[in-house]
Order: sequence, then structure tokens, then C-alpha cells
Amino acid sequence: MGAPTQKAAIIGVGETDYQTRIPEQTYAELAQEAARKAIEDAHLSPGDIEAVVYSMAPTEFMGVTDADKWAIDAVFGRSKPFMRVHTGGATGGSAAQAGYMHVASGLYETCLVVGADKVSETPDAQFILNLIWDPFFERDFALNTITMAALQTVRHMAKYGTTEKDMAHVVVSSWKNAQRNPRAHLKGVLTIDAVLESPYFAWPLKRYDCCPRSSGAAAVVIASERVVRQKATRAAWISGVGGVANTVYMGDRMGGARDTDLCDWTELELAAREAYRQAKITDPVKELDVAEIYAPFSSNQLMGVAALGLSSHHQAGALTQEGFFDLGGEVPVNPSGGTLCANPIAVTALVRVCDAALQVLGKAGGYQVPNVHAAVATGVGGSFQFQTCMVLTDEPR
Amino acid sequence: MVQRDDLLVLGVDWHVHYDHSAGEIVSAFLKGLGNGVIQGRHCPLCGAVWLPPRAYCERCFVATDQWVSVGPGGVLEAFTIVGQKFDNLPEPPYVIAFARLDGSDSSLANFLTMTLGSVEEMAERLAVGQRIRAEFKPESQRQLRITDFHYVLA
Amino acid sequence: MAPSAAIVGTACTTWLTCQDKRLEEMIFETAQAALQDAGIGRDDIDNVVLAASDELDGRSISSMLTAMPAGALLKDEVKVTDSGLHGLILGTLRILSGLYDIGMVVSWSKVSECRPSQVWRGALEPFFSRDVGAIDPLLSAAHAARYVADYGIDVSLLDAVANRMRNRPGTPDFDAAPTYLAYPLKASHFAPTVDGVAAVVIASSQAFAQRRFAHQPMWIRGMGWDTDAYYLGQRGWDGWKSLRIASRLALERAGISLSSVDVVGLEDISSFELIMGVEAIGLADQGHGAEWILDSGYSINSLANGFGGYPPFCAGLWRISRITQAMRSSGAQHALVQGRTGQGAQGHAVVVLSQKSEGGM
Ligand SMILES: [Zn+2]
Repeated sequence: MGAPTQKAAIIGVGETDYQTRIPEQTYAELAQEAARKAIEDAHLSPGDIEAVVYSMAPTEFMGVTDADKWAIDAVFGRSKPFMRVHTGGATGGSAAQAGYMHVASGLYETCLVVGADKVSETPDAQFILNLIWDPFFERDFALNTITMAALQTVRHMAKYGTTEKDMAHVVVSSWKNAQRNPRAHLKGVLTIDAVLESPYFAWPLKRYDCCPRSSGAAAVVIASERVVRQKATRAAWISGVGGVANTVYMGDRMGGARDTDLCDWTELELAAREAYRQAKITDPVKELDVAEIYAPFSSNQLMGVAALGLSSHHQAGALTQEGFFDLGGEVPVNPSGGTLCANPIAVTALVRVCDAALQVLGKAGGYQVPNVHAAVATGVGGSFQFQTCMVLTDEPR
Repeated sequence: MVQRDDLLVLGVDWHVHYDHSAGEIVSAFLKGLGNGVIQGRHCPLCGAVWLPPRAYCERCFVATDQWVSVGPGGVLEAFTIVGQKFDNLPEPPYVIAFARLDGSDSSLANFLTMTLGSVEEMAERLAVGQRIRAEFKPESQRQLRITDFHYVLA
Repeated sequence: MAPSAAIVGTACTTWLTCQDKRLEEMIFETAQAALQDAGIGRDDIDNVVLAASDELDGRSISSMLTAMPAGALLKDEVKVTDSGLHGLILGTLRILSGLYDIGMVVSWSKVSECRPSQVWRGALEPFFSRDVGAIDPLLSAAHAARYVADYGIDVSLLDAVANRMRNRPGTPDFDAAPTYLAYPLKASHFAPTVDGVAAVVIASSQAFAQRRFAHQPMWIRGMGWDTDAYYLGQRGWDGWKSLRIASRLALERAGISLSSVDVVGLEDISSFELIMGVEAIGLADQGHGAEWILDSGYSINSLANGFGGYPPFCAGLWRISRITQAMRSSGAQHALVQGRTGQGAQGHAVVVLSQKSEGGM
């Protein structure tokens, strides 16, 4: 398996602001804003879009099971090839890859990948996130995304000596980065002490270690090499993709006959290995200029940088404290502020792709990293069991 | 955010009922709990004993072939102490634990019951690798649910 | 050279309501049987595509629990929430991209665990639609009423088509009331819904160069998919436009005409939908679908009859599975298979299968 049948690149990015509630727009109107912005950014018109992939995670938050089919007219998808991708938190990463497949297959010249979420339309988010678990064995234990992340973090602390202070540095850096991102939901000046003194949601995770619930929409336009040459001055080439799924049962990933450890993010390591192979990346620290890692909890960023080969697991905390992953550091991680500063679940992983693409396109504005030739974007979903990885570059590979 | 009185919000509730088939494997496991027994399923190819029990080995992709009793002792593999009240979920603080029961190759979630204190105090008394024990409710109170037992520190 | 894709193994459940197995167990058994049918093991596949609905499954991210029984442990897996046929299309796009070689596509619904009508209600947006409650099959009935009026159709033809499908030899009996669900559709016009799982193993032309499979490949020679407007009133009343677009594109990509298709497998959740399908793909003129089904001498859906039991959501992939198995031992050269998605058949997918790979995508 070598090069794709047809090379493809992201030539347009569209995002809304991310905030708790967006009462000014219906769900479909929100999705449209991102679609319109992405198509305009690509200097195309809606009629130039040949196919649409819709990025939509669980619908219980916004409350309409056919969310995508409701939004189809608004996102210019009517009477076009249209499909909804849903892989939990990883949805946006999976949707971007599905959009890429539309073009890479040679069947389409353009594909719009778009989605939206209104997570705060229900106050019952963590109750809904309990319904993701096995109804016989796991729902009774108040498992939700926060407790799930706490269980994983406890293992990371035990295995690699990670401290709550390491995690606090991730939060402070993310919030600081987000100040440069006009669309970020949470941002501002936080101190290490403020993070450490915030109340425990589920030990060892405190309030500031956790992402917000956000509403918002995101979109990218993916185009073939032919369209890029005709219409675009810059392009973020999709040079490598990978995805790996693992068992839902977290208990299979801790001790015993395990193949993988819950706290190692081996799924991302494997997905990145494939994406790097396609993109011909052998030394990620040297060759990647920026990483947008889907880290909904502070400790996840420590797992993510190791899985992507930017650090060892043991060193991730220390390197974070030294500023290795800050803007201006060796490999800036989440210069946008990342998922800790905005989490519109259905598109969070697509936002990572958007932010990585903006860096390659040189359009990231206040949080632009200088001279980006290669960027990586990741997505994680389910019980940290689904991981996606996409490498974007300034030239085709 | 500025409150605007020109914008309406429509309140909607939506109830959907499900009857989830437990199947033979889950049914047998839950019935075993009524007799105070915790059993995993054995894979004929890799030899692993999986909990939660399942009809097939996800790795070898063959049907599992026998029940193996596990526990009651085991090792704490991961835990958290919940400090925040979530709607429709229990009153904090409480401990969610994953423990690998002796004879099993994977860890099973359950509540861990211990003396309550502040979240930090409770965290100090728990560690990955610690021995635990599965403790059953009195027979009369068992409901053939996973909550028929819980973990305690050994 | 761009690769092509073919079905190399498949399995599906048949007309079943299953209360003795977890959904996950049904999926495992079907996926395992599909691998056995292909003569390969789980290690040989490099990706998995699922097509399912969280709300039918009663699991908020249902692939969390269903990906592993479908064979996805440490594989590249993705899920679509559209028909099983949309899943097959994404799996095929992956193969055509040249980045994957052998994939598993699985779709299911276990409707015995839920009340689909409760789920369909949630499909309606809350501002204009939900209070009116026009879910399937009521939406379908509104369309049917308009169809009957526009083309001067004798409504007894809807009975006649349903009876023809139900009375096929080997089709299980079921109770069907001749009372109106919503004019002009009666309960007896609908196929009985059942639990279902379908699994299909697909491989690239490169994979054939490297290894042997148990059966001759069934080539995925053409595919088209298209979704129409959300509101029925904005879709136009002259038949299923999105199916017309999808089937025309699938045949065009396959490089064959409708007249050379030997096997047709269309959506048959109701006699009305079957009639709409026959007209949209062009077997009959608008307004003449029922007569064509009754009088043409062609036995529509003979290899996969939903009137023996229709598994919602996965029906398109279920039909592919049944037809692939039957075509292996028949002289049929080309098959056209349809799947539908959304309320009132908002969207459609069409796949053209062929014994030979020449001329296709
Ligand atoms: Zn095994």
C-alpha cells in the first residue's frame, strides 16, 4: 500500500466561535456558518462541492437523532452524496479521513467535511455519557468521561511518576495559548496554584484539568490535486492518515493478558505509525512543526505527546514543565488552546484538523507557529479506545 | 453572555425504552452472582480469562469455551474518588475501582467501599497494585446485578 | 493503476427475532461467518467499517461495544450512521484510495430491543416537525397519498403488490392487519421488521494478486449515493429524485445499462416504497411501478425478500449479502442493490455488483 490513487489537500477551513450556548442560531444554522466559511475560504462556491461528509457524534446532547439530515440543506449537501460519520469523540478525525477517501479514491474532486454540536442543549451530558457503557457490567458505576479519564490518569501516575503539577502546567499553557485564539471557549491567565487548588471532580482530576462543554461548528474543504493546482494558492496536503480501535473494556487494558495499557495511548502510537509511514516521517520531533492533540483532560496531553513520538512517557511531564511544547518551544502542542479550551464534541477532532491545517496554510493568526511544513492532528473517542491521526504538509509527499 | 428576550427556548423531554437482551453468557454470569460466584470466560486459543465475560475472544476471534471462577482476592489496577455530584449519578464521595481478580486476565469495574474522608485523604489510602477483595451483599439483598458485590481493601 | 474492489466473503442472519443473544454476540457470529466464507482470518483484514444507529442500539456511542465483535481489535475502524449500503460504499472508497487492502463491513439493527417509532420521533427537529410527529411510516403515507392522487392510482394496487411479495414460496407468514395506518397505507402494506446483521468482506484487486480467497470475487463495479432535502415538502412529489440520481450514477460508473442488470434488490419495507424504487431506477415509468411489479414477469427481490422479515437500517447490506451468495451459483452477471436512509427515504445508496471487473470504477 503506497500512495493514494489521487492526492488530496485541505484548501478551505471554516469555524464558528466556541461557547457554552449559542441561542442565536438553530443547530442547522450553526453548521451552515462553518460550511459557508470553509467554502469561501477555499474560493469555491457551494455548487463546486461534489460530496459531503457530516461529522456528528452522539445526538443526545442536541436532541435530534437525524441532526445531519436536518442540516443537509443548510450545509449545501442536498442532492449530493452525503454520509454521516460517528466514532464518538474521534468523529471529526474519522470524518476528515472519510472525506479524504472520497477524493483519494479518485471518485470526487471536492468534498466538504462539516459538523456542529450544541452540547449544552441538555443539562444531562454526563448522564448521557454514562449510557455509552456496557448496560450489564459498567453503567452502574457512574462511569462517564471524567471518571474514565481519572482512572487512566491514576495508572499514568503510578507507571510514570506523573504529578498533578505536570498536569497543571498543561492547563496553564493551554489557557495561555487560547488567549491568542479568538474562537476559544475558555482562555485567560491561570496560575499553577489556581489549577492545583481547584476542586476535585474525580481524583486526581480537578476542575481545570477538564475540558468545557462547548457548542460550535467546524468544516474543511478537501480537494484533489487537480483542483488545488487550478484554484488554490496554498494547500495543506493530507500526507498520512491512520486510525486504530481497541476494546471498550478498560479493564482489558490494565494488567493481565493485556496487549496495550490504557494510559499509554498505544492506539494513537499505532495510528501515528501508519500516518508517519505514509507521510515519510521518521523523526517526529525534527520533522513535525506543530501538533494539535485531542486532549480533553490535561493528563491526556502527556500521553499524546509520547504516543506521537515527541517524548518518552517518563519525560512528558518534565518536558512540559520546561516549555518544550509551548508556543516558541521545540514542538508547539495545541497552540490553539486545544480541547481543554473548547470541546464541541461532534467536531472537536475536526477542529484539531482545522487548526493543524491553518498552521500549514499560514492562516492561524495570533497563534501561528512560524514556518510550518508539517503538522499532525489527532482525535480520540469512546473509552479512549478510538484514535485517529492525520499528517498535513505544505507540499504533497 | 447577554440575555436576549427576543430569543425563545423550547423545552423538550424525550423518553425511549429499551429491553436489552442479556444473552446466555451475561445471564449465566449474573445468576452466578446470586450464588456468590464471580466467573470469567476462557479463550481456547490464547488461554485468557476475560471479565466482563463475553461469548468470544476479541483478540483470537473465536467463541470462548468455559467458565472459570475468579477471586475473591485481586489487585487494584485503577481507581478514582469522585468529588463532584453529577445529575442522576450517586452522591460523592465514592470510589470507582477496576480490579483484576485472581485467576482473571482483565479488570472489572465496581465500587470500592472504604472509610470516607476528604478526597485527598481517601486518595492517600489507595494505590495501584494494592490487594483488594470482592465482598458480596447478603444473599437476600442480591438482585442479580453487578452491584451484588463490591470491592474492599484486603 | 487505481485498484478495484470486490466482495470476497459474506454472511447474514435470516428473518430472525433474537432474544437469546446480546447484540454484540449476533455481530460476532455474523462477522466470524463472513471471514470463514472468505477463507481468511481476522488477522488478514486491515480495516473495519460499521453502519449502525446509536438510537436503535440503545447505546450512546454504539461502536464502543460493537467494533470488537465486528473484528476491529487494533484495526482501523470507522462507523457511519447511514444505511448498511453507505457503510459498504465507505469501505469501497477506502479500497479505491489504494491505502487499504482487505476490509470488513458490518451493519445491523436489533429492533426487538427497542420501539423504532420512539426512535424515529427523535429524528424530527423540535420546532416544526416533532409536535406534528410525522415519522416513518406517516411521512411515507403523506407521500403515498400525493402519489395516488397525482397518477390516479387504484389504491388496491398497494394491497396487490404487498400480497404478491408476501405470498412468495418460502416466505414466513406474519399477521398483518388490513386497517389503515395512515391513508392510503395499511399495516398489511408493510414488511414485518426483524433483527438483522449483515457482514461483507471486501478486498482490493491487489489483494487478489497476493492471496487466494474461498470464492470468486463479486466486483463492486459501480456505486452512487445521494440524499435529498430534510423536509418532505421540499423534495418534490415526482418520485424519489435522490434514488434516480444514485442509480444513474452507479450504472454509469459500472459502465452498464439497466437492461443488462439481471438481479435487482430494492427497498421493500412497504409495497409503496418498492413501487417508488422500481420507478426511480427506471424499471417502470412514473405511476406504473405497481403494474410493472405485478405484470412484467420479473420477480423483483426474489433473492432477498424483505416481506419475509425486514431488518431496518442494515437492509441494504443484508440484500447485498443474500444476493452475493445467490449469484455465486447462478448465471446472473450484474446486480443492482439499493439501500435507503433517513425519514421517508430521504437518502439512497445504490451498488452495482458484477461477476466481472472490466469497465467498472
Ligand atoms: Zn483469545
